[in-house]
Amino acid sequence: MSITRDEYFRLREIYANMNPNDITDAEMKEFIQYSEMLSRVPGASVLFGGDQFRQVNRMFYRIDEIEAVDRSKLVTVKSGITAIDGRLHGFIKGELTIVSGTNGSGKSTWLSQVAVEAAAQGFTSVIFSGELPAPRVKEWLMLQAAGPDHIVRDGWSFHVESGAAKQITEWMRKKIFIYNNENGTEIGRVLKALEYFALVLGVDVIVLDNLMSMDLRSITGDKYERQAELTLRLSEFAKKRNVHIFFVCHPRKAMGFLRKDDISGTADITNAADNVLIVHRVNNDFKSRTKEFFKWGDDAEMYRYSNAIEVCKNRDLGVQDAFAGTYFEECSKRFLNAAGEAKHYGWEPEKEEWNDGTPFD
Amino acid sequence: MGRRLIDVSLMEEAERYAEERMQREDCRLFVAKYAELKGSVRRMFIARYLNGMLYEQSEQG
Repeated sequence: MSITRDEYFRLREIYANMNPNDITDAEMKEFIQYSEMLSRVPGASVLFGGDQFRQVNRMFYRIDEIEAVDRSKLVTVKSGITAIDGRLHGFIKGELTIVSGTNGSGKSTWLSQVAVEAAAQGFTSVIFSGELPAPRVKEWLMLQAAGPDHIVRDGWSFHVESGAAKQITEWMRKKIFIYNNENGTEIGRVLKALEYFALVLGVDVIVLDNLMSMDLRSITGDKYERQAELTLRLSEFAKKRNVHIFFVCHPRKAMGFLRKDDISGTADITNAADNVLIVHRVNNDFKSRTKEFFKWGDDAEMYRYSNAIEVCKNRDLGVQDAFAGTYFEECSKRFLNAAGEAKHYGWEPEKEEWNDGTPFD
Repeated sequence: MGRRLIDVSLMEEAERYAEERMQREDCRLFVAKYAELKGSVRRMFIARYLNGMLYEQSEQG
């Protein structure tokens, strides 16, 4: 018996792509119980997703039992923005990151790029986009994966060359899934879908875009209590299933220089998160407010960039008020570390680089 | 020549392989339970198993 790797992928697609209405809550519960039992079998733990079932079997630790965190063992997803990855050492699986920003700041676009970055690192992602239709989400993923060398301009729009598009589609189909919004945005359904993606498809990264598009009516309390409850549930879920969740939360105000306290309606939301990031556009408003807030000079480094990603909170390393500048590239929708950066994500063979002076035989 | 199409027999082969693998991994206690799985639960489990195989393959390079 031999099945090729490609056949495994194709079989997984066939088995995994189910109608959610076919899965009852009782069936999901049975599946989770069975998977959990198998994950405990010595020697088969990896095969049956042992890291997705964290055991809680005692009330406390003695001080002498607690060992320092071995950072080399943490599984982290790099965002591709080197300044962010350098400061945070990547995004740890099992944690929740809240991403905010005013309309048009680039938060959804950046998270789309993070999914491409994650794919290049061998991680699998799922994107819930409550506002954008799936073809639009795919279009931007394709442009970001392609990069400027494989994009053609058509009037005001940009497209990926057909040859590259085919290769990218094949590469991404194994690594990035897009939630079908027709399944609904009621929070019970979304959480059930999260279980499904984590346990059945083994996703490592979940992008939830965004809080406001979730139907939270089944959670008791007022609007802000519901949002806080959802955030707590997501934080628990990330830990329980060992996934990293990026959760987009719109700010209360539409304009101006955002601070952490402007995110959604209650501080409970940011309190529940492990990381809080704000994506800014470096416009006149940003410049004037940062000069006022941080006493930056006219020649502040951040003003050279088109966008800045601010780390407002990082529970692991205690980073805050750290800014990472990026250049937004219109044609590829990529956020670049340096102007002209042309990253290859692995769907294409690396081009051979010639040094100056390399003789041609 | 060409790529083998995914068909029912291949799926059955994969399921048999899952069972074999569980025997090998000392999951015998759970094989009986596996045989009882029906419908969506069985499908989800097979997808999950295939995912585990893919992960294991990638870990082995």
